[in-house]
Amino acid sequence: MNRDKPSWYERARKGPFASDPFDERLRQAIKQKTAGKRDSGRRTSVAATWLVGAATVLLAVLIVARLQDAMPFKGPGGSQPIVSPGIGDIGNHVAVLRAEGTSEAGKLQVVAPNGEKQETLGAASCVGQETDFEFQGSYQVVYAKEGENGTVIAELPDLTFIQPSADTVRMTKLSFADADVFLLVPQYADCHGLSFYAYAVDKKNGEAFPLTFRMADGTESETSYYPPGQQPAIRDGQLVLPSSEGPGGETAEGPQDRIFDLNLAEKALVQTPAAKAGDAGGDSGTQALTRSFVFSGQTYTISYPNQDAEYYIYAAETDKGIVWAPAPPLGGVDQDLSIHPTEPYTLYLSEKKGGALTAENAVKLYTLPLKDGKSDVFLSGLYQAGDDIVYSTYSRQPGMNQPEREQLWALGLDAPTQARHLLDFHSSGGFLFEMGIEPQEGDVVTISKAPDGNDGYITDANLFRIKEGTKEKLTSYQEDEKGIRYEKNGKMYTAVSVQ
Amino acid sequence: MVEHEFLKNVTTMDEASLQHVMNEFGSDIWNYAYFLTKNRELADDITQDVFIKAYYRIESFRGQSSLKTWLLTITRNTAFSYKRSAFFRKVNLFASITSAQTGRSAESEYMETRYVDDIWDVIMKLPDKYREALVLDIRYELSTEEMAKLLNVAPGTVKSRLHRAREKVEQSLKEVLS
Repeated sequence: MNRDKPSWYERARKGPFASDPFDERLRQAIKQKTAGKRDSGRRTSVAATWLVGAATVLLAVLIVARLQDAMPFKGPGGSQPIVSPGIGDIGNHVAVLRAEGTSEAGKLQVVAPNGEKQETLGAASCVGQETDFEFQGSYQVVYAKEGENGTVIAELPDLTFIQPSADTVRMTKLSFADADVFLLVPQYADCHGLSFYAYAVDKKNGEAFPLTFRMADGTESETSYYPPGQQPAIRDGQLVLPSSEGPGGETAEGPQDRIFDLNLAEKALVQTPAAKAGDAGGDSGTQALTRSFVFSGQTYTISYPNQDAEYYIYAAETDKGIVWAPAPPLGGVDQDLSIHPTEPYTLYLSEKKGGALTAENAVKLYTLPLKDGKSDVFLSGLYQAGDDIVYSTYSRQPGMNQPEREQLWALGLDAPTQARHLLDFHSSGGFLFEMGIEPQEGDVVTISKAPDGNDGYITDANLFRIKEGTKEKLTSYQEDEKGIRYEKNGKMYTAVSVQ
Repeated sequence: MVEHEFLKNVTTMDEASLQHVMNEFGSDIWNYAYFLTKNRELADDITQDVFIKAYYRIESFRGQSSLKTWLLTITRNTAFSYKRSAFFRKVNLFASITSAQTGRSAESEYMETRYVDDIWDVIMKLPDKYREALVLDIRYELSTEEMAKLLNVAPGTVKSRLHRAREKVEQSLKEVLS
């Protein structure tokens, strides 16, 4: 098979810009922002870290103590800066208490030890009114237990607050069973989402620390967000962040709230999969996960053991019932390109009555081969075609970026003893593959396009009449938004796109 | 890259490693940020955030994916944070960086913003989801499974988006030629 890619593919490998946009100025900016951590020696010495931090804290606490009695800031109109009445001067800078939260065990304070840049917003937008105040500076989050000196528990360099007044921002307090969690929301308004930091105060030992947001996709962040006009809440011992439309908020089932378990030992808020919303906390790793499918208004669920297995589950509705395949046991999960089934895929048939699909309430139809030569066999699609099931597979060896082979098969539901091979195809790396199915007729239409080396494609279109067990070349067809229109026995049909 | 394997076992990153990672992936990350936002200034800010986050949170890199994929994931999440909120937007940052430099000529700035090939005019006009899948395939050569994880969709959805993206590009190129 011709593996040449179309020339526009190669053209697109260059650029998009002629010069390297990641230039020296960006490198220097990154180095500047990370230099503070390296220069302080915090990375190599915990003791040194606390010595430096303690000196800063002592200074910050002294300033904060004096600021407690400071006159409230009053901003003049227009763009003139608002300056505190000079209390807490450090050289030429004016230290500021910007935000605060109080628990039974102690107090959290967000302080700008070197002062802030302060001005009014000047123009209305979705981030605030024109008379709102904008504060910019480098801040420290200081925590002081009752009767003790404060400790810097977090640094917030280059932070901007936008607030309707110059008053100290009250941090939102959420009470969990084992800790109070304080939310620092520097900007009270936004076009899309309000970003915030979270800090926990352990009720048992009175310790405080910043919380990391550990997302279900494996990424971590020191902040999260929620839509303007809504509030985070605690429900069944879990943090619930309201959903938001758009990237990050949308799912196949529509907008979903993000649910987090508080893990004090990990100093993290750990996102749980949406299906587990309402669980009363606990170790999410030991509870079953399920994936839902909706057929003819009925919801079916298939359980899977861990996050790696979620997208290796398939299901399709047929006249005879729901044909489905659970995720097989997987190995090599520590590296994306090494994931492979350690046991073969198995197809099952269950009644069309909704609910959980399990091997116990199903008829075992067919077991796919585990291997294709040296390659592992993966199921990649499952569809009804008349009285048969059509399914696609790909085979790949660990470490391979693209499949070695992709194949299309048919399996009769009345006597599923052996699958029938329909086609080998290639759908990546510049090759195009489109497939449509007319489920009642039991017709499968495939269109394969291979680059011809001259910016064009060689097209191979076929009609598989699964019921009759025949295959014919298609010389005339039309592709539209629904699928592929084709003619059979003088009548037009539409094979609905499935790929 | 095998040479970055050791980073999955470290809790902090030193300056040399940061420099190496920037050299290796700086352009990839910037370009991906640009593909997502279509804005050079935002791409600058996002790229900085990505490497700063990677530097401070290298201990969260557990080696389950390649370092490149991990950085691309951070880039994607950061880009969407920028789109969601003005919180991280440092509107003065770009100005503060360039103020210390000799100003570029108007001509060189113009040349720097032109695409190296007209194919990018076509690709950048694709709908967001198609554009993203296509550049991840063409520029970053991610597998379907890597893309599915990065985009948080099923592998079949990735294939579908790629197919549609390629068809749209093909169609646009035909229209240009005709």
